[in-house]
Amino acid sequence: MATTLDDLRGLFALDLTDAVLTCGGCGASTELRAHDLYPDAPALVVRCPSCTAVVLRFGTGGGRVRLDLSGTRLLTVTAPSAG
Amino acid sequence: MAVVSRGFHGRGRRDGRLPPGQRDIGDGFPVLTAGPTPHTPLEEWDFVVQGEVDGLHRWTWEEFRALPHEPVTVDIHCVTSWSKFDTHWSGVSIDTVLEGVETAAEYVVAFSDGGYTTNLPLEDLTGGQAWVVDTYEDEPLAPEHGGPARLLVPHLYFWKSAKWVRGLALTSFDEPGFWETFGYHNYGDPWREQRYAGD
Ligand SMILES: [Zn+2]
Repeated sequence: MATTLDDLRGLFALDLTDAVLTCGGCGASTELRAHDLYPDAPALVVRCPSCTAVVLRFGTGGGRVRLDLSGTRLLTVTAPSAG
Repeated sequence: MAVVSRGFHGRGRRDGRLPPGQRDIGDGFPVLTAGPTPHTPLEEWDFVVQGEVDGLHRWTWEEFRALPHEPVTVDIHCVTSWSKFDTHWSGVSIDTVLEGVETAAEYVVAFSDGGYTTNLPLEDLTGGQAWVVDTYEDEPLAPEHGGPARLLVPHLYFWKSAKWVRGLALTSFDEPGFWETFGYHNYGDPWREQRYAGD
């Protein structure tokens, strides 16, 4: 079956508490909650605890939601049905 | 240090100085940071002008401190909606930094310790509009506020005033910086409320 944008929408309904991010800079795989968080900037900045590279940016200003994962090579989340 | 009147004369004067959507934060000075605070030893610090210029222009900390400094009193406006009036700085005008620099560039990327960048038109840095400051309220600029030195471009939102600045890259094309690549406005004029791309 083809992968559709509906499947992508499903991603954001997932619980990200056990998400693992693989850093695009150094390749380290780390639980999202173990990253270095900088919430006081104009947006949330999430940095790799191994190399301090920015792996994720998330912002909700100006009536839009923004997500930048360009610093993440891979995002791994447990599928709801796999629980 | 100037004592600013909090009376109604001052209030009236201040009203016209608050860009749309901003609030006066008074004596506060929030620290907004997107990463760990760098602590570069001064003996390793330098400031460079590079890119499309006639060779590398570089100043060590001692050389930078020896450049003519000037006092600057300005209002600053953060995109997170606070403004702060009558902040006192001392620093080196970008006009001084670029004296004798030959370039055909129209754009600048300011770059910092820790990897932060922000882009500006070159013409917004010249003509007495921008400085590299190393002193705030008569004290050496604290690391959490961008020390030892930060860019100061008070007519644009404060994210353009790069903390921990280490140099300017002059380019003939406009290259979006850290926040500009994340949906923030490319120019960032607080008086036109240019917070986000498309504003
Ligand atoms: Zn990393």
